[in-house]
Amino acid sequence: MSIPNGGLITETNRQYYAGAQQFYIDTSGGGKTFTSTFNTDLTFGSSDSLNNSYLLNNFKIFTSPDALTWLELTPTAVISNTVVLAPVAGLVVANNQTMVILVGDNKVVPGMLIQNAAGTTTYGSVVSVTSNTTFVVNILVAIPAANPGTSLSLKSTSPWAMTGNVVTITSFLALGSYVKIQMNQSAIENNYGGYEYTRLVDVIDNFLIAYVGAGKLLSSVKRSDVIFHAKRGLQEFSYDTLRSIRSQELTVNSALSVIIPQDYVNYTRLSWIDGMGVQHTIFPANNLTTNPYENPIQDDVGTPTQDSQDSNVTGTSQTEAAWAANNPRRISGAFLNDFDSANLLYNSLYDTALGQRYGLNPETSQKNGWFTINEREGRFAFSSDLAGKLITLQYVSDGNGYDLDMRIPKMAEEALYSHMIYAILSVSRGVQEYVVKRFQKERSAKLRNAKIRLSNLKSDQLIQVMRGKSKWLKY
Amino acid sequence: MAINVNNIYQTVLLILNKEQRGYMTPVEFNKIGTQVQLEIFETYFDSLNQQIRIPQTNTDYADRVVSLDEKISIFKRFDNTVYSNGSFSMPVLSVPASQSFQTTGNASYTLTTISAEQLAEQSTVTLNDTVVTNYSFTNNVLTFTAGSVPAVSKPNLVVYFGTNSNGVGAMPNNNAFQIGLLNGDGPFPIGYSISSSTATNSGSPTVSTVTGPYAAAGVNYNQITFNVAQPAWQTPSKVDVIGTVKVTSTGSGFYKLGTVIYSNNALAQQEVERVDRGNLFHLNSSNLTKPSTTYPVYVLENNRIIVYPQTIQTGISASYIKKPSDVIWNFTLGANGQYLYSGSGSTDFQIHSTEQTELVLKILLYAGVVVKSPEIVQIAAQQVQQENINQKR
Repeated sequence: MSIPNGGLITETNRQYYAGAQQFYIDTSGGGKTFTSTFNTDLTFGSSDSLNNSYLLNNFKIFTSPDALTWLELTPTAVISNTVVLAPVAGLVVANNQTMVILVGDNKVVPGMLIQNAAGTTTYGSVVSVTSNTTFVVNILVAIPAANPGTSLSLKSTSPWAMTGNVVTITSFLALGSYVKIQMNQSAIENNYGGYEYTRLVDVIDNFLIAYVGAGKLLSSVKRSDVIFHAKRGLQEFSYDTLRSIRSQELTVNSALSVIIPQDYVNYTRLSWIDGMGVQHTIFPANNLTTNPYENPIQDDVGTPTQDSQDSNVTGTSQTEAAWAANNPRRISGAFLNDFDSANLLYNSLYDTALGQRYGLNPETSQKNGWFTINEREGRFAFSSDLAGKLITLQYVSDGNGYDLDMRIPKMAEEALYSHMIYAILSVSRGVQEYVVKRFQKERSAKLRNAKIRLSNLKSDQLIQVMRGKSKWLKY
Repeated sequence: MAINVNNIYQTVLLILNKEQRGYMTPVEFNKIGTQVQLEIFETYFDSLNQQIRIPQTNTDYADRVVSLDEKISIFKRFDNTVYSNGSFSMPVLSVPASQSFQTTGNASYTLTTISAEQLAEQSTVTLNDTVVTNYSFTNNVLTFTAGSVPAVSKPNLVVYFGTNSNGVGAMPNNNAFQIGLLNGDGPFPIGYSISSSTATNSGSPTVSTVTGPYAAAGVNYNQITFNVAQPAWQTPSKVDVIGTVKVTSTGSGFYKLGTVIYSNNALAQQEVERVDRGNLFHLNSSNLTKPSTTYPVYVLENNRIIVYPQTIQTGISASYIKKPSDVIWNFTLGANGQYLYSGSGSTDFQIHSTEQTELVLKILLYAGVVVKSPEIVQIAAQQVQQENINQKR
């Protein structure tokens, strides 16, 4: 069914796949409004592509005479501009005066700038349209008396605007023409797969509808309490239940560090990427080294020294400098002619000797490099063998960073409701302990279900893995 | 749905006079009726609170919560608010109540579609679309102050059109031309509009200036300038010169605030949560609960709705309970000085018709006090008490 018909899907196929919503113009005129029904709210900065705020738009407006050839509606579009014959007597400087032209022009709309034919002088603007020959105008620079046939150029500097998902097109739209709202590619992609999730605002509304009210266990709850517990629940779920979907592809610079992402809460995996695109896990340095939180400069007797503002003077870390200068091969014991690739057919003869060194320590015997978290500088720091390497940083956020993040997989929606009702009941006065316990158990059970669902254990994949259980020789 | 005020008054009088106990005047009845209506109205909210905590039967007509809600629903409204200086007003009528009169030359005009309470809350009076201030309201009667009484409207004036000084000649096509009047018909009052059933004139021009009268060829004429230019006029035989008094009021009779809603065009509507100042401080301090356009809150102070975040300056509407209008048993005096009921100008009881018996009993209770009859007071009090017991048992 391509037409939304009262189910949870509210976008047409075209809206979802192509990010486009089209309107037919059944009566000509300017100032028409068009309501967007995309799942994604429209954002608007400017309708002028030369204006920097235009970059804030997450959509474009197109017009077409036949729904085949589309032209973006900007101040330079044909329907945003028109040329009229200037009043022979000219117009003096005054507000709200009447301008009459001899030949009617439907394309004149309120807000248009009145300029000379070359567009070099702006005389004023159109305030309102009385008829297609008569307009109320504000004139700031007198329009000189002109010879018959002299032209004036009229131009819409803002041919359209948007507020609250309603687009208003000030330019004249002809009968039988078409208008299209076209979402930008990034907005379309953000919406793809959105049916997998329920937005947090919907969770909150659903909760208030279904769990709160007269005759229910929660007869009255402040909405701000529900919001708090929903957001806190989403945070907690983000840490250990929901899939980690955040990652960044970065290059380790010569200073051997990358900045911690803005919405970072904890890492799940750091890997370097070889020439085949295969990722190799970078391990934490753990006890091998550290990044000191402070590096006070000491005097001869070991006392930290202070500056003129009575604060400790700090220097650079000697530990970090030594670690950066170190060749990790001396710790791991790896051979010199390692190859940075997962290609199994690209190994050297020396690889046969790997792992044969006496006293090998498995914790340090790896050639993928190490990382530390430098809390002092807010960066991930890497061992020297990763300099210049392409890495991926996978991490978890708390689901509250951006509006788009505030959604919960449908697989875990019920668990979130349970979390919220338990959290509210457990701090409510007069609720019997056995009721609280009941919802605590329910929360726990539903959270466990959610974790199982989200772990994506598929039987055929398990079978594939288990087929290797009886292999004698393993690579 | 409303309870006819005359029926109640007659019933009360019947019971009171049965044994010649006394008489209740219309003025007394109006005051007591209004008082009793408010008493009954105000019990709804506490009763609802009590009933909502009691399990109800899901059977038609027996669910007390539903019954109470039906009684309250008569007074439920949903309207917009008006933003100014950082806060919103209490709800006002989205479509203002209005009533127009053609001027009669009299000073007073009685309003029948706008209540005295609404007028007291907010009102605007215009004379020929110009706002005027020289008036006062006494209940629902508009009275222009002495010296500012609007002139009488003048229908069916026989006029002559023309550009010549005697009001004849070529038809004019601008806004200054001559109109000749028969003796005694002039002059036109400034600000009044002119209309004609026989002319094809466009719009309803209003008189801007008048000079004259001038006498010529046995006809008095005035030179009239209108506020808008007219295309070529046709010769009408008669025109109406109309003066219009228009009273509008956005007064909603607001009593209790319900749910406040924020809407921004096609974006999803949001309920605005009510908080107090202390809560607002803490909500603002927390990143998780800070008010946003998705989750706005409001503080109710000094009869104003202060919405947070303060970037919200439009789109706030609210449900509310309207106060019942004052009861009026209007009358005219008969030939013998007796009170005769006048439906015009009367205001019925607005509470639900199922309240009729309680209404009569409670009025009788007060009437017993008025006529100094302890017997009436006692019987009425017992009946009212019994009814209350039945309703809440």
